[in-house]
Amino acid sequence: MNQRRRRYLTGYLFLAPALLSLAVFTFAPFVVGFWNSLHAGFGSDLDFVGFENYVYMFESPRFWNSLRVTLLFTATYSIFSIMLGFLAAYALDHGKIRFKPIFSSILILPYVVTPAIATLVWQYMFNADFGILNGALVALGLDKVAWLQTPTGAMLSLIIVQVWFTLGYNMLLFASGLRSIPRTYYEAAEIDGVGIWSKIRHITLPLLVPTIVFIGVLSLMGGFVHSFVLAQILTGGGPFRGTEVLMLLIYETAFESFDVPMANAMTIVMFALLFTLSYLLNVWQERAYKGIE
Amino acid sequence: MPFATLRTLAAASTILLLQSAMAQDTFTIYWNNNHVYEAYQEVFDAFAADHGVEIDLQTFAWPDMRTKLLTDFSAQQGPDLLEVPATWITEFAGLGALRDVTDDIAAWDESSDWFEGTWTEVTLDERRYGLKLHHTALALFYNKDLFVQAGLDPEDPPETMSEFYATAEAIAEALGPSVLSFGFDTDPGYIIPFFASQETPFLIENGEIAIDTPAIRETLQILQDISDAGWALRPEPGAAYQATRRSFFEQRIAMILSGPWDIANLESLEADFDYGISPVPSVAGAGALSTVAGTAIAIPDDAEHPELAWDLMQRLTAVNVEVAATLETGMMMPRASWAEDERLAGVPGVAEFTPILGAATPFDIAARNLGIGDITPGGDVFEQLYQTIVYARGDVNAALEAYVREANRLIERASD
Repeated sequence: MNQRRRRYLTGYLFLAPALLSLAVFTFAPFVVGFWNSLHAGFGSDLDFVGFENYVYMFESPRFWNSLRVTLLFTATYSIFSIMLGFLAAYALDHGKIRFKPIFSSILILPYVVTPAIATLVWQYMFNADFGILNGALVALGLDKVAWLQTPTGAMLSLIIVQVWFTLGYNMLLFASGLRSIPRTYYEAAEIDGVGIWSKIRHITLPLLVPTIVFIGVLSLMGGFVHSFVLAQILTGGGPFRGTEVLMLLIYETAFESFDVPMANAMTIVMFALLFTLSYLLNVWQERAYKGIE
Repeated sequence: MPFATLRTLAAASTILLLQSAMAQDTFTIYWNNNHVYEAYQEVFDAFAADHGVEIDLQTFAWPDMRTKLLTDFSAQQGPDLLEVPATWITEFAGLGALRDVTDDIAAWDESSDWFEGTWTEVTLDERRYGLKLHHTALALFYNKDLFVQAGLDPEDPPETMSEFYATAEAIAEALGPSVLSFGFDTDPGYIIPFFASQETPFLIENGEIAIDTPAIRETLQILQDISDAGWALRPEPGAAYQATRRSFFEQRIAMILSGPWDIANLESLEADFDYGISPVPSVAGAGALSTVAGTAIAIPDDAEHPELAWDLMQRLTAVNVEVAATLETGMMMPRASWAEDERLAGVPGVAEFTPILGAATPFDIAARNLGIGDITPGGDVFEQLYQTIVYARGDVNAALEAYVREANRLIERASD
C-alpha cells in the first residue's frame, strides 16, 4: 500500500465511528421511516398504499394549520431572539458596562435550565386566575390577560418563552462572532467619521453573516423540532389548535392515534422543509458573504 | 494463553451458564404508578412464590405507558399482563394487540358476579379482551366549609342545572374572586357526566350522534355562562391533570367533578376540610346517571405467559383483594358481591358512589369501537366543542351543531 492510500485509509478509519453512528441512527431510520410512510396499518401488519398517506396529509386542514403555526412561531421568535441576542452581545462587546460577566451569566441562565421544568414554571406564571403575571397587572390597576386561553395569547406566550430560552445562547454566539471582527476596521471607520449605525450596517452585520446563518439554522431547528416540549407542556397545542406545532401533531398521530405511517409521512415532509430552508440560508450566506471574508 | 487463565475463564463460563439455567422465569407487568397498592403487592408476591417466577413490575403514568405500549406492540413484544384505562381495551383489541379471553371468562364460575355493565367496556365484536379492575364514575365533589361560608346548606348540593348556576353565583358573590365556584378540567372527558346526566347515556345511538338535545344545549349554555362570568377555574389548555384538583384541595374552588381516586387524597390530607359527594346536576334533576370510568387488566397478544397471566387476573379481582384495596385506598370495584360486602360499611365514598356506579354508562364506547377516537372526549373534534364552552364566548349551539355534523360524517365513513 502506498503512502497516499495509507493516509486515506487512516482518515476513513478515524471517520468510521462517526459515519457508522450516522448510518445506524440517522440514515437507516430515515430510510425505514420513509418506507413505513408508504404503508397503512399497525405494527408488522402493514399494507403498501404508495403515497396515499401524503395525499391524505396534504388534504388535511389540521396538517396545514400545524404547518402555519410552526412557520409563524419559528419566524417570529427567530426574529426577536436574533435581534435581541445581537443587541445584547453588541452592548456587552462595545458598551461601557460594568460587571459584564454577571450580565452575560444572567442572560445565558435560561439556556441551562431544564426546558420541561422552566416551561412548567412559566405555565404557573401565565395562569389567568392565580399567575404572578396577572397578579402584577391587577396590582397595577390593569385587567387580567388570558395568556394561554386564547389562540393569540397562547402563541404570544409560546414566543415569549422561546425567546427567553434562546436569547442568551444567541448572545454568546454573536459575542464570539463580534470578537472575531478585527478592531482595525472600526478604528479606520472612526477616523473617517463613520457613525455607530453605519459601522453596524457596513462592518458588523456583513462580517457576522456566517454567525447569523448558523443561528438561523439553529432557530429553524428550535422552531420545528424543539418546540415540541414547549407546546406540549405550556399549551398542549391549544386552545383551538392555535399552538399545535407540527412536531406535536406528529407525536399525537403516532402515540395517540397509533398511526405511525402517517406520522412518518409528516416527519418526512417536515425534514424536507427543514432541509430546504437550511439550504436556502446557506445559499444566501454564500452570496452575501462572498468577497467579504 | 497460560493454562491458569484458561482454567479461570472456563470456571467463570460454567458459573454463568449455571446461573442462567437456574435463573427464575420473569413475569412482566405494566401497572399504573398510582395503583401500586399493598393489597396488590401481596397478590404479586403470592403469585410469584406459587409459580416460581420473578415479578418485574414496571410502573408508568398513563401517557408514558401508551408510548411504551406503541413501541412494544409494534415490535410484537410486551409484558405478560397490563393495567390500562378501560377505554383503551377495545382500541387495542381492534389493533389485534390483546389476547381474546372470552373462553376463559365463560369457563370461570365467578364471572357471573360482575356488574353486567362492566363487560361492555372490554367487549369488541362480541369477544371479551380483559377484566375490569377498578370500576369508577364521576360525581360532583363539593367543599362543605365553603358552602357554609357562602350561606348555602352543605347538606343540599345542587341537583338541577339551574340550582348549579344559582350555587355558583352565590359562592362567587360571597367568596369571589379568591374562591372560584367550579373547576373545569383540562381533560374534556370531565364534562361528559353533564351529558350523561341529561338522560343521554350514550354518545352514539342508532348510528348517529345522540347529544344534540334541548337539555344538553341548555346544559352547555349554563356551563359557558358560568365560565364567562369568571366564576370557574379554566385550567390552561396544557395544564397537568392535577391543576384543578390541587386548587380544590387548596380550597380555591368550591366544586369539581371527580371520582373515587381522589377520596384517598381528601382523606389523607392534602385537604383539611369537610367535603360532600353527590350526583352530577342535570336539567331535570334526573339522578345518578354518569359516565363510567376505571381501569382494566388484559393480556397482550404476544405475552410469554398467557396462562399464568389469566391466573393472576383472577387473583387480582378476587373479592377479598377488591375489599382490601378499597379499605386501603377508597377505590371502587366491579363485582356485585364487593358492593354488598359488610366490611365496606362506613368507608368514605362507597355509599355515595354505589348508586352512581349502578347507573353509569360507557358513554363513548360505540365511537371507540368504530375506531373514531377523534369524536370521543379525548379526541380532536370533541376538544373544539369543549374549548368553545370553556374558553371562548362563541355560540354554543353553533359549536354543538358543527360537532354533530363532523361526528356524523366520521361515523358514516367508519360504518361504510
